[in-house]
Amino acid sequence: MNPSEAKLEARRRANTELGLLVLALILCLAAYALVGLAREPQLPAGMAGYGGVLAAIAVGTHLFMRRVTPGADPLLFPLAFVLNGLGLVMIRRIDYALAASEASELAPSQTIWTIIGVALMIATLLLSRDYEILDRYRYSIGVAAIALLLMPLLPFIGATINGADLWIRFAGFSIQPGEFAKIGLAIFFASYLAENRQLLTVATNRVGPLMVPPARAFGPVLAVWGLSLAVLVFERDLGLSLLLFGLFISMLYVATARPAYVIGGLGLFAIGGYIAFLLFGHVQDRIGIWLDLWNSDAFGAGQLQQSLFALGTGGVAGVGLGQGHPDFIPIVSTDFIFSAFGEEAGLLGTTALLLCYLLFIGRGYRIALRCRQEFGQLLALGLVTLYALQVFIIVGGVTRLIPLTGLTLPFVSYGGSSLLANYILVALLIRVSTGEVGTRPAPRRRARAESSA
Amino acid sequence: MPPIILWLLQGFFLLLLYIFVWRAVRAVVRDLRFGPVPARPRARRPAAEASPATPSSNRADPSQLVIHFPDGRPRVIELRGQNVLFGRSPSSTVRLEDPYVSDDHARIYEADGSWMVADLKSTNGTFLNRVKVTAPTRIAAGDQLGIGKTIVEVRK
Repeated sequence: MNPSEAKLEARRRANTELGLLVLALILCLAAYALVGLAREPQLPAGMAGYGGVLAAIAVGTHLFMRRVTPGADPLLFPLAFVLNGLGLVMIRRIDYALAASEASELAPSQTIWTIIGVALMIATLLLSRDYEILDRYRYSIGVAAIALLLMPLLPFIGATINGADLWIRFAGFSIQPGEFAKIGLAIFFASYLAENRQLLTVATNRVGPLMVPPARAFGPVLAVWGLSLAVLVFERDLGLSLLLFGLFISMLYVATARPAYVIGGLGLFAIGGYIAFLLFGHVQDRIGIWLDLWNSDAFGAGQLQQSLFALGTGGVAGVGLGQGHPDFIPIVSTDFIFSAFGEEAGLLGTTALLLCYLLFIGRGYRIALRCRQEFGQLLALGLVTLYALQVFIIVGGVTRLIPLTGLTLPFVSYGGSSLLANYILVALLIRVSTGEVGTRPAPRRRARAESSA
Repeated sequence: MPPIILWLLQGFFLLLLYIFVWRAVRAVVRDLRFGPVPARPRARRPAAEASPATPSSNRADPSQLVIHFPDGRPRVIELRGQNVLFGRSPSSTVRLEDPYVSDDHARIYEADGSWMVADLKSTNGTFLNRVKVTAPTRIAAGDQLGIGKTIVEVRK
């Protein structure tokens, strides 16, 4: 592709992005207005502020991306933006519902987190102009990620919220370091696998009837397996350990194209899950609730029952934004926000929401496929797999497709750490996608891969 | 607010939501159809010269491979007694950084005085004049091999 063609293509993409952003802005404002109108016969008071913040974010980021990342994927940011905008509307709406019982003021702080998140996305885009820098610092990033995972176990700063030790308190904020750790781990896996792909593909050692790759190559696999179990055991966090394990197995499979890793991984997961089931009461509770929801009186059965009632009440077109009862569902602003949206926007609304996720995920895999560097490919793949698994685990959980494990719904749920981490994820995906258009130099990695082989 | 107005507004909201999704899907489809496809080299030979359908014994023996990468300059390889291995693995003679190429994808070798191409059980196949190679096949000058997004031209 010659330079002028590339420039034209970049401009076309930027215009697509602008069109989608304008539409997303109108959509979010309409939703916000509807929530207010349903409650009192006038537009809500915070409307101008909300609209102003969203418009500033959309316009500012768009202009920035036109200059700094020409030819970037035109869908990722608008999709993140619309999910974030609708999430803010739902959180404001939950504030209204809970105002009677408790003073709930989540929307303003989530708005601030949104601004910080977008700023962080822009900063990441600026700092990772050449994202291969992440490849060079892989071990530092890997160690930092593990440190982040283990931080909530430390005395003094660790904190227990809702029965899981996932939090640290720092300068008045509660931070969930696991949200950032998973992105660090995706970077580390991508870098490790891009270099050791060959080693993991060849089977040289014989163990009984099986041919297996050398033990040295297997070390990290077992280390990560142990790590995700450690998180499960000490922090009682089912969701994150499931996420990390799924991430590693999928990346290993894509890097090596050996189905044996998937089969072996699922086997290990089954064994680990069974042991966890035997050892831990809360795992037994979750499975029991899932199998027999309506007769269960275990702790946590009520929230899932309310979630299903909410989705059922919503029907096809929903009871109308601002007219449902999100206050009936416990922890509605984080884990169960999907159910609250389902009640008020119905099957049509939740389908559209899931389509937005699907489009995001599809774009992510396309970026991975089109990238010419192995590291970039695996990085994009790992990040988008993380995102896809997270959406599947939480939406599957609240709709009782799979046992419920608490995770946030990316961009929609209340929660600063999750929002910031997801904006970093978007930034990295956008960065990998900018290699598509224009003229990037030939991969440097080739020389190193050859010398190490 | 009368319920009917709220209902209309709810319908309007859902409509907007789907317009957004539709616009996004349209952008994806347009990108898939007209998106930035890596330019393919135009390495077509005149039909008369190629004559792939009738491999006769008097076709010229090949002595050169011209490899047209999907990006970058073509590379010329002389065929002089040695095997040429195409693939993604670092040990390949011609290393192709292409997700559609297997680690060991295809081999070109000399047997009984003629040059052959064999597909090494690659995932996406090797194509000789656009026909999938299933067994080792003789190649001659004028043939065209397809390996992933790369086109290999066989010359005299």
